[in-house]
Amino acid sequence: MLISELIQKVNMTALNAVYDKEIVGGLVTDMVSDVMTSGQAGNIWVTVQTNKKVISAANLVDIAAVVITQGKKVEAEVLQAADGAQITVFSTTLTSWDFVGELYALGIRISPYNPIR
Amino acid sequence: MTEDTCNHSWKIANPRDGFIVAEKCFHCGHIREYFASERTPPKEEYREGAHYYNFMTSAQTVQFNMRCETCGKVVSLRNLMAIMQCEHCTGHCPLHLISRTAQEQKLWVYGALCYATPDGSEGTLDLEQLLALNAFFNSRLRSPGKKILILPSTFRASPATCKAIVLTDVGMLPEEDDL
Repeated sequence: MLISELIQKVNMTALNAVYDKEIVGGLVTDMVSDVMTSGQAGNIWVTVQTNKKVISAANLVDIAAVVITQGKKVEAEVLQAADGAQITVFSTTLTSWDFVGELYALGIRISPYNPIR
Repeated sequence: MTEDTCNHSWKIANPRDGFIVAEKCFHCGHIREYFASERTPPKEEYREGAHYYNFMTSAQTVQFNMRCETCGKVVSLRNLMAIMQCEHCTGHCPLHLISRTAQEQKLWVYGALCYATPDGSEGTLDLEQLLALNAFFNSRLRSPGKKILILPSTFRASPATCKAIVLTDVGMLPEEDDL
């Protein structure tokens, strides 16, 4: 599913430019170390974290888009970094739990690759 | 296939959750950093030789190895503390110059931050470690033309003045402080 298609189907608002990419699975975590070890290129990353580390980690793994849940505010410099990396940052007022429920209902599943922990 | 002839296909192996702990000797100011696998970061004061170390700060992190899925070769990254990205704090820093230049070519430069060596100097990854780490992160990319280059953090002008984004997990536990 493309990001442009997903926008039409779930409750989220783009906070910067929309970079249309194919979504390949999802990842829900608030820890950048999880993204580095378990994230996959094309994932949609659901988190409440809003600092610049999120964009830096997402860029390293080639995350397709980041969704900030619970309506957390995102600073302009974070969005600027996201534009530099061509990563769309979305905001939703839903909790991570509820938002992932919407993704699941659309057939988006957890990233297939996870290292054995 | 032998390790020498293999076109390695690296995956993360044996990830270990823990903490980066930083301590400072209150006599001479020497700072040491290490990985601690305890459930909470150790904060006890202790003496080691001429040093009297006090806890400074900690951050959650994960330590891991790279393992080739084809030949089984394992590259330990035990000395890798974190991956960092240049924030362009000074125009004279070599890492800034490299990363800004490379970014124009869709090449994203990160730094591999290592634990200090026993003599106190800044640690660095060796070539085998760098090749494995770079191959792993680049093998996962999907965006057309995008590349990742992870260089030793020793490219920085100075660790003391560097304001890089360090990819560690801070502020996630009540026991930890900012790194």
